[in-house]
Amino acid sequence: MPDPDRPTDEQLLARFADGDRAALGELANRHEDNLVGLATGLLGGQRDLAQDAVQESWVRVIKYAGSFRGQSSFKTWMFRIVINRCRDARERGATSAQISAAAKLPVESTAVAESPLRLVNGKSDDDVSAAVQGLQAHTRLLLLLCYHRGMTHPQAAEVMGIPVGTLKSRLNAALNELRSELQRTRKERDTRKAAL
Amino acid sequence: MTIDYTDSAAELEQALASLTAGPGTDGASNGLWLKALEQAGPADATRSRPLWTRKLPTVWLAVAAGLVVMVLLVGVMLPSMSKARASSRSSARNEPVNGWTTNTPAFDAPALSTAPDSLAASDQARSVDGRVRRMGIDPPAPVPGAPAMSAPSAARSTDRFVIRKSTLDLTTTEGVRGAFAKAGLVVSEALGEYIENSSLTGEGPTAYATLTLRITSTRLSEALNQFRALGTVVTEAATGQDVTDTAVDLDARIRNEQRIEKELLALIDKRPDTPLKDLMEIRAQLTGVRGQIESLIGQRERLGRMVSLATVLVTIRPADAAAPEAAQPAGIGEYFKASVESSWRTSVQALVDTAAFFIRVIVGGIIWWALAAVSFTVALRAYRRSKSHKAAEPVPVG
Repeated sequence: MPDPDRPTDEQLLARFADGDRAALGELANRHEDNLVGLATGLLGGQRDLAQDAVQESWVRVIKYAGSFRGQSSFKTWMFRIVINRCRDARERGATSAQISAAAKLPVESTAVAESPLRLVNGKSDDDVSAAVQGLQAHTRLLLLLCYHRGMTHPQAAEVMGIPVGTLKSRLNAALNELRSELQRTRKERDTRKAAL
Repeated sequence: MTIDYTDSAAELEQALASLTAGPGTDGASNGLWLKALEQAGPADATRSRPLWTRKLPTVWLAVAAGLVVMVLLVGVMLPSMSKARASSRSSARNEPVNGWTTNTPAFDAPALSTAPDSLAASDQARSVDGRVRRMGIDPPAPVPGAPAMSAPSAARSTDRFVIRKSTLDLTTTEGVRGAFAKAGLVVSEALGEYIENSSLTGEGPTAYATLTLRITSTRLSEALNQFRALGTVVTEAATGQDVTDTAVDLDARIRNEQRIEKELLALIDKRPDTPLKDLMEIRAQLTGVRGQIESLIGQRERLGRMVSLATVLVTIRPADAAAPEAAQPAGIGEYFKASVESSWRTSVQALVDTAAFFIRVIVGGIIWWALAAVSFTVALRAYRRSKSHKAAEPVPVG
């Protein structure tokens, strides 16, 4: 249950716009971890690039805090900024080689400590990461956003600028696409193993 | 062991969630916001900076540059466009005039009765013909003195009835008197041309001759060339007044009155036992109709003459006639006063010209401004839409 004495994100942003720096710190404490996580997912696991993107996003928030009109919640606004910065980072192309290299890690490779590739039930989820990075940009964004920690479907729909119903149907289609991609990957691996 | 995500939705969702898991700082930030604050500088720096030291956004600079270019374009294009329109009107109504200016005031049309527009005139003409044919009465003969053209055919034809007027201002080095005499010889009386008015005044450098000549329209170009050969053309102008509608209307009205006249005559012929009183009434009406026919035919003939004979106004001056010189002010005081007055007039004139220029640009180029405004609005909306689609941020982003 939300604490009535706790200021909302929008109130904190307004306070920051009035010159209260600590308000921005409070906002960062609430969201920065999630933002870095989302950026990491969008940038194919490149944590450094993700942190750069989030930092750039904060710069924009600082720059435009005074002109925030409250048409959306601070959270969705901030997520959109981060998504755009990540898109810019991908489009710049300077990192494309790194991203694709990270996305196309061989399944047998060892996940290092800094890698975003986590373990699921003690097993590597490289397959999922590679398959997600192989999807189209909007499908990838949809999947990562919908399964991002603390992100509800209405919030995800607001970030993407689509109705919730549309989001759900697209999510279903995206999951099917991802499953097909995973199946294809699995078959290829089985074929490779059989050949060895 | 490999997990088969295609079978386990929960594990797939868990794997997806793990891809966007944060660094795990337990509610504490990574300090990126502090770096951003350092990078952005003091938050209030931009707002407290004086206006003239702020960096103007590139888009506003582009808009300002576009406005300046637009003003210049409209200012330059408007006069040339109006010239083009005048030229197109001239070529539509006149003979080819080889770049003449057409700024002479409109030539007065003869005093004719009200002239309905061409559509009404041609409709009336067709209606009269139709009624005449339905009544079994032959259409009347062509109107005497009028060009051989019936009203419907005139309405259909591309031939136009145009009253032409030309003015020529000439200077000559061979004597005004000689040029004046030669100009009179251009008129061909055999073709019905004549000198309507002529005058010669002064001697030597103050000599001045004017001639008003009526020249056959078909021979106008040839006659003008002959006039041009008499000296140097200083100014030349030509106007054409289209009176096709008036001519068609007159023809139709004449035919209508003639039909009425015929009907009245037929009435008298078919009813020999008509009482004298009725007969006198019919005759009175017949007299009125005939008077009307005569009047209309007179108007039509006069119009025909105006069309068939163009009016040429020729003025001849000696080339060495001294232009009136401005009196030189005497003394330095007078000179200073004259200079100040001249400068004042020039500056006021420049101010008026500038105001006129902007009024012309704003009013005359209203279409272009409207187009520019619409284009700008559409572009701005498209830009915002693309931004909102791409960024969906409620603030402008670079």
